[in-house]
Amino acid sequence: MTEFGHQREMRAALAPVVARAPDVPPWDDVVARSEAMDGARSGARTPMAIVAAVAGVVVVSAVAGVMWLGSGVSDGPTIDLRSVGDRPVVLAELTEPFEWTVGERGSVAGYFLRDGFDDVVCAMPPDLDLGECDGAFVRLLGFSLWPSDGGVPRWPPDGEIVAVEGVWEIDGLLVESVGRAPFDDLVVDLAASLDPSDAAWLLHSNGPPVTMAAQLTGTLRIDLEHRCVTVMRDGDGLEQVVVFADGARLDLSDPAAPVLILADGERFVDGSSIELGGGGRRVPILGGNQQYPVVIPEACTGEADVVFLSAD
Amino acid sequence: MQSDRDIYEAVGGDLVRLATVLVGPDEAPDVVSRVVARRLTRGPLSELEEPRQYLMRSVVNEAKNVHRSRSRQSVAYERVGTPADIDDMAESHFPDVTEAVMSLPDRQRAAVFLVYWLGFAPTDAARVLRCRPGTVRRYLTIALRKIEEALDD
Repeated sequence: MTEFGHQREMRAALAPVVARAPDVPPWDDVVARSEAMDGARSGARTPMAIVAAVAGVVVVSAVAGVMWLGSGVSDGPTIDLRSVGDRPVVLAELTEPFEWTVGERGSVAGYFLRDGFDDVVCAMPPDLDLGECDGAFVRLLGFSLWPSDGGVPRWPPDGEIVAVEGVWEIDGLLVESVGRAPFDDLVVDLAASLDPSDAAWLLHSNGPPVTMAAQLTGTLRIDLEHRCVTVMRDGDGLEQVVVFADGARLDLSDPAAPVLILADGERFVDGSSIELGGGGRRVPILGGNQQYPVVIPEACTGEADVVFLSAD
Repeated sequence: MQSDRDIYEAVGGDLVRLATVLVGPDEAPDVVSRVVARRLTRGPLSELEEPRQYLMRSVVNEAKNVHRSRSRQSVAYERVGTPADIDDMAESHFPDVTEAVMSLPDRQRAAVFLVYWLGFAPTDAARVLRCRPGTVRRYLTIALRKIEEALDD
């Protein structure tokens, strides 16, 4: 029994769905499938394929002057170290869901590649100092670029909307983004433990800014009581949204509200900055474009950065 | 020590039901088969510290892949995360509630299933979903709010 009410209604609601559950696949069939996977895997996961996969991220990083520091290729997690300027970031190709904390001074990029070339993520808070952020990690479940069947890696073409979703925890601050595009809600939940006065936000966008702008429109809903920020789809076109919950009630009708909504198609360029919170605080932008921007809370990084995820 | 087959047979039913809630009955067996088979390529289930939680978490993750695949392949772009056959749930005693639950995002829906159907404590559900118990509670709060709205309507 749970501490939540509506137990009967919930079970009744689930019952017709659960009742439709089919039989469990026979064990022998699962084993046979596993053996077939194992054979295919040994052929698909060549080191070259892994390098090619990671190279796509490097192309992105190169825009911001990322320097290659090293790499490793093995059957297990592959970790690539690069740097943005003099600050190392870490990218990894992992074979299973993985929460990752990187020690020592430097940066961390939670990298979540499920089962080979399936999902790829790069999230790079350049100033995240783990000496100060004990146990901090950034984790983002990213967008699908590589088919799980071991097919040819690819970047999504312009105009294709991909999914960005995941859980981020930075210095004890939990950000959960559930962004499934196209045509789904972009949701950012703040952790219940999060003090709104500490929350600087976010948000990612899916797809290239310009083409994306033609595909989704967001209606922003901010629910401070439940610490939930939601961008709802509502028509054609996309609003990229950066929200800064400053402890005040957010009134979107108030132009001085601590909310910044970027116009459709607005582009960031490397070295530019955006203002957060309406209080004059500006956040620099890294990256040649901001196809997948992530604003790291200033309180967590010491020097807030926009981290880019880009497929260009 | 349990054999892999024993583990699978012990948890397989719940895995399929979870997958059904997340992706619908048609793809549920394939999702379960895929995640278990994939795990077996890395080692026996018996080596897992918490095979049940691990496999459930894998099912939740795989469900996301299914939805992404649907979203990429569908020109019409159905709403992601919603099983296609909600309309078939007419036999529900609470059809509005069923629809409200099934329209929740994956992780929220998974949390509802784990807590309300399997009877997991939020702490245990959080271990499956790899989040904090507070996040699970928030999922449930959101879900309950939607349920209440459905009931009010």
